[in-house]
Amino acid sequence: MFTRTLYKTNVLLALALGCIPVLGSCNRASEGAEITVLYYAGVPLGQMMREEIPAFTRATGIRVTYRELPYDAIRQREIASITNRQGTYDVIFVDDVWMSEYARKGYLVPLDSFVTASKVDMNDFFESARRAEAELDGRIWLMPQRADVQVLFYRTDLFADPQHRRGFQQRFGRELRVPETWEEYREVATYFTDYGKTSGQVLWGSGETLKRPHFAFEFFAMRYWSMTGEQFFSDGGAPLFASPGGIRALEFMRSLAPVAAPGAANWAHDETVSAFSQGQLAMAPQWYDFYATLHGDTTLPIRNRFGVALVPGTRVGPDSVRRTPSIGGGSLGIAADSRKTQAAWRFIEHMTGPEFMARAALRGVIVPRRSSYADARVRQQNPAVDVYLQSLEMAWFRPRLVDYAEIEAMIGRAVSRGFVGEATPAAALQEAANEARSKLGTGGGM
Amino acid sequence: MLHLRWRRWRVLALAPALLWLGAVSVYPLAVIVLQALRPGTSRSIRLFEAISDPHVVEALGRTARLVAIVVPIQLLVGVAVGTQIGLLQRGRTVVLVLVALPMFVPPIAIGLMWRFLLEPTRGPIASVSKSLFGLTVEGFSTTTSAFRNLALISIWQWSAFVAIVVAVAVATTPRSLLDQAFLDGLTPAARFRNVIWPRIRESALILLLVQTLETIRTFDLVYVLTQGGPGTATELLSFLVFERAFQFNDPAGAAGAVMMMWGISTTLMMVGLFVFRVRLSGRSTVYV
Amino acid sequence: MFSIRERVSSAAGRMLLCAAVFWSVAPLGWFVIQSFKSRADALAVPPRVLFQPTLRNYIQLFGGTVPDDYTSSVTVGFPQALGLSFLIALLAATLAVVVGSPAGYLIARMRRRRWDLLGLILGTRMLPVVVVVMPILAMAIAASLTDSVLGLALVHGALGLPLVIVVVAVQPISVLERLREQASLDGVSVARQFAVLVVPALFPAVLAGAMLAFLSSWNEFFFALVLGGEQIRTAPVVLAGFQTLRGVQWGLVAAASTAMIVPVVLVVFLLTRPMVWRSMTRTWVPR
Repeated sequence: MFTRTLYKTNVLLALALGCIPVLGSCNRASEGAEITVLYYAGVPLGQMMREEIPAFTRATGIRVTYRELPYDAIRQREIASITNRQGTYDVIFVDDVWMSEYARKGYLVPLDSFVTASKVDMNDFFESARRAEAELDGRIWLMPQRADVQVLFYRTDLFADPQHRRGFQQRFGRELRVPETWEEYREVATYFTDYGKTSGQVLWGSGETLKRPHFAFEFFAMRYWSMTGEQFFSDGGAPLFASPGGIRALEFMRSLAPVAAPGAANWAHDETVSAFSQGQLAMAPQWYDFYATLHGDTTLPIRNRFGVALVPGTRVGPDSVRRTPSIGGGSLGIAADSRKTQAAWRFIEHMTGPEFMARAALRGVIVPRRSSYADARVRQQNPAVDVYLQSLEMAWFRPRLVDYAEIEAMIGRAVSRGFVGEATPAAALQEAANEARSKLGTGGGM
Repeated sequence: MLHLRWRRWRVLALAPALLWLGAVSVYPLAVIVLQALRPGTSRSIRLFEAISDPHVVEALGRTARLVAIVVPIQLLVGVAVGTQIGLLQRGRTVVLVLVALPMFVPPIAIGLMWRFLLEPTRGPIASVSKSLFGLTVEGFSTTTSAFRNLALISIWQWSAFVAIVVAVAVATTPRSLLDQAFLDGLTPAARFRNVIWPRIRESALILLLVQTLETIRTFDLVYVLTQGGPGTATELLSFLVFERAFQFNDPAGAAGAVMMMWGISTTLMMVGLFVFRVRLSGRSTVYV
Repeated sequence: MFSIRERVSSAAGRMLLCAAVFWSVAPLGWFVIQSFKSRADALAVPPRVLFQPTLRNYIQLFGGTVPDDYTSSVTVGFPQALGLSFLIALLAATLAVVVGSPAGYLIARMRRRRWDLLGLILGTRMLPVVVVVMPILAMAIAASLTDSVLGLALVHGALGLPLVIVVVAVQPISVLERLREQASLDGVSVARQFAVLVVPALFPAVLAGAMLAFLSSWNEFFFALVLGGEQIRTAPVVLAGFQTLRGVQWGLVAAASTAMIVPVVLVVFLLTRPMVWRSMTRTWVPR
């Protein structure tokens, strides 16, 4: 009974989607409408949107019911609601890695006609954000709202300390500086971890974030892309990550195990950031958004003693290093079973519009609009914003597959196994590649 | 005068319970079975495929290992502590409540709490252990420690449950029987064997079964603490099921693993019931 | 008068109890203390034993935001969630007891097929929750019982029902039945037999079963998440929400956990104070 309904629903949705571009241009009254928005809980942007709702209602006459759910629960709820045609939510939060799944399975209303009708300037959004969070297969499915990118946090005091500079020079024969390549990164990590062991101080060279499945995948990805210059899958959906380059990348991760802080194999973001904030790590590759956490808390031991840099990369020429931080973030979309698409669009337009985003940028939110960073006060709020902007330019996005969740779990599992030495990197990646091949057939391509 | 005609009342007493339970178990099971046996679509995984899936088989082994370690200890600790609590004359409620505290907190909170406690670089246990004993605590960062700590937390969480059930059973032991046994010159151990154990025997055996099934279903802790890692150290059957059913939105794929879980649980239960029937059919002893 | 063996045994018993209490209470006690620490104190390494207690976590949990706390967001509705959890758990436990106690008593009286039936009942706990959830959600949608107290209470009650039945069913009732026979021969009506003999004898077990059913509803997360919605958010669901992608809001988790322990302890104390335990130590003398 349940599964039949599921199939029927999918067929209906597919048909309905075909009609929506036509219907979308119809004049659907939005005055006096009421919409429900589902967002994920615990982020300042959500708070800002909630505070903005009264102003939005005054301006448009649309009433908003704002709902929040924990991040882990939100995708299930959205999918359950849309596939059961409950029509519960009109505006939904969509993480960039879900875009492919949602778009191709028909969970979203395409926004092209709305964007054109409202004359939204898509070029004001950073290109990497557009590609990762909004556009797929030539259509616009989502409006980007937040774009985060991986950077390297490091301890400025440790790098400037003459004792460390001398010690590092002696041991590695070069100057101690923020690492440009992954090999340099490992050397710096080795130095500080050994220092921590011998001096009895609680210090490790690097903090890795490798809990299954998302974290293991995303922090492997930034090394894999950099070392191989390739995506995880070919355009045809064939797995590329079990190549010699990929194996080398995982072997590199394995070599970090002795010099990373213990716990790396099971750390999520907050543990790494917490360890860094307590002064236990010399370096920590992490998402830029945590800068607000670290910068704003004046009680931390590391205040005024840390900096942000581009992630290290792989040398591909005498003067060029290929750095490939991952982009990640969220967008707003219109649920396919929504009955108030016009009103939903007005909400999305407002909350991703230049005016609201400029205000969000002033509060330290990392919004993906160029115009939001024009105000000089943003730099005061967010001193390291240039590193952010630079990283965004060179950011890569994660595989755009309908079955992204499954792929991420497979590869994340392989990374974890390789990192703790449960299997050799080659064996772990081969296994994951075979599974990907057999489970996904031709897969979803880029 | 009220006449109780047993047959009718028997039905009336049992039927609602069985119907209600059936609705939340038989129906979903039927759905799952149908999904598992449905032929044809490229995403459906049938039962024999599930059995041959190496991930599922390995997860089965891990789950079995966990059960073999955790359940006997839970029972041992639970029976010992529960007996002591049940025999208390005064302050029994207070002690019972204190010992039962792990059950008053949602498993999510328990998981988060232990995650913090066992954190290798910043957790309190690690700090204390380092300064007092010079030992490092690995938390969930290595394959062996992750599995071990999962077992420990599971024991911590569920021994309380066993203790409560045993304590209730022991507390209903009439004082006179114990006094009689004492006056008859029986040692404490003999008193336990002859007076207390017969009263709690059934409960203990049921708990053995219940806790085995419950441990096979262990999920919350893995979900909050390790998501199956590091490597595959804590990738238990129930976690695989969750992954496939929820994260991959592939209920058919989960169905195979579920069938395996269900098959094993049913087998265990039938064996257990057979043992119970055989062992409990003769209820002897004087002190009843 | 008491031999060495007795004294050693009873001392060992006391030590075991102390150890058991410490082992259960210490981690949770630490967590409760954490809830009264400021963020800096809570995350300090090594852990701070002496600290300035603060109520900011509770203020945030039960009220609004705490200023200058950049990682916080407005925590919506924990007091309501706590109340809802309590209501649903109470309802579920009541339903489970009403339906389960007669069934349990009946099974206790059975000689044949008893274990078959108990096995069947226990078998309903064999399926992993995560898989059973989706079909049950479909049923709930069909019956319009999603996002409702009754719907969730029905499901939670079904979780607690086996516990009630089994706890009652394993009570040794041979003495009770003999007394009932005697009373029947004495011409006592069945209703009076139940009121005077059966109910008091089974009351502790029923109570224990009720508390187990209450707890399994109180702590339950998955069904509450899936079957709940906007109106129905129970305390575990809100607590789970304190794990944000930016990190775990430890202060709120600790405070919420503490807040969840308190009502349960109160209920347990209230229910077990008066009649229960005293009645059990009386000897069985026909009245």
